[in-house]
Parts: sequence; structure tokens; C-alpha cells
Amino acid sequence: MTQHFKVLYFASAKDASKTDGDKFEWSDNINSEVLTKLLLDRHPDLAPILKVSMFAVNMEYMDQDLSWTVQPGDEIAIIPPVSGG
Amino acid sequence: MKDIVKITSDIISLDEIAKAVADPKAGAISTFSGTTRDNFEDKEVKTLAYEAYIPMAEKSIQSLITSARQKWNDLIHIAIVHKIGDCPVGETSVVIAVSSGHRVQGLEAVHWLIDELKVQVPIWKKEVYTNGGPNGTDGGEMWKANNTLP
Repeated sequence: MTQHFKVLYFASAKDASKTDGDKFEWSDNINSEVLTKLLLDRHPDLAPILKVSMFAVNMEYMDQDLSWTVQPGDEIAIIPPVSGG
Repeated sequence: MKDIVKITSDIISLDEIAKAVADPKAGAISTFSGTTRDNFEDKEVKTLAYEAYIPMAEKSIQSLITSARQKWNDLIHIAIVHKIGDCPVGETSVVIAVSSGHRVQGLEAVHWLIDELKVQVPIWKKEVYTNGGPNGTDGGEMWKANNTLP
């Protein structure tokens, strides 16, 4: 059974990808570099935005210095620089 | 001790929110209101448009409130309400209201909460200009950025 994970796009990432979310097929060993490549393959216009964005996985910011891999069913969000308030 | 966290597309009322944190034990209600300013550099701003990753924003705001209660022990009720959608000039985008026994900690907590909200919480604002955007951007609008996370 193919497993999947979800990616959500916000703000400038949503404008660049022209969608608010995508479903991707899960496989082993998708770390942040592999994820970035998957995203750019699907939406090349995301490139400048990904450079300055954080990933959130299941609503937690991912530390850029720690290694992590995507799990099946994860909800990943592209978080461009925030500007609330 | 109430924590009120709300993300809404309705108009925000400072008065209602201040009333919501009132308490007989409070000697002070401290508040902050963020309002849409009509200018950015030399451009005229027509409106701000806010977008949020709502469940994470709610979680993040709640987490700030929990941290504030750890930093200051005199806080009673805390309310943070943020608008999403359009927020034209003069309208309020965010209200933070804190009741406390004495004024010092309430004022400090409000200050800290808005500063932290601006760098932590996944909410974004887009400025919509009246005459063409900066750098000739189409649609005369631009996503803003506060400080980026480290």
C-alpha cells in the first residue's frame, strides 16, 4: 500500500506553487535536502522561497541543524518568514 | 486563569477582549492593539491581508501564553486575538490583553507577547498598495517579513 505525506504552502510559497497543498508518495530517507528537491521538481518557482523558509512537521518547527526524515502521514508546512501582528 | 486564543476573520473589539480578561483580583488590564498603517516607506498602503497556518498558529500562541505565565507569576487572564483576511487602514489586526494583580508584570508580559508573536507565530501579512508595488511588482502587493527565525 503506498503511503503518503502532505505538504502545505503558505503566503509567498502558496503564490509560487499556485496551490495550497500537495500530496507526495512517501519513501524512506526523505531528509530536508531530498524533500527540497522533491518540492523543486514539482514547483521550480519555489526555489527562492525555500531558501528563506523553515519547514514545520506536524506543527513543530524543524531545527535546521538536526537531521530528520519524513514519516508516512506527516503534515509538512513551508513556513516563509512570518509577519503576524 | 483563562487563556483565550482566537484567530478570526471577524472584526476585533478591544473592548470585548479587555472585558474577557477582567477579574476582581486584577489591579490592571494591559493591552496592545496592532493597527493597519497607511504607509510603508514611500508607498501608500490600501490594506493588509493576513493569512495563517491556523492550527499551528493557535498552538504557537498558546505556547507563548504558557511561557509568559512561567516568566511572570502575577498574571491572571491572557487573551490573544488575531484577525485573518483583509485588514484595511485603521482597522485592528491583533489584540493582546493581560490582567494582572499589579501593573508592572502585565505591561511587561504584553510587550513580550507581541514581540514574540511577531517572530514565532505562523501568520503572514501582505501589504496591498494603492499605486503599483515596490520594484514594479505585479498586483501592487508584497508579502512582509518580520525577523526570520534563527
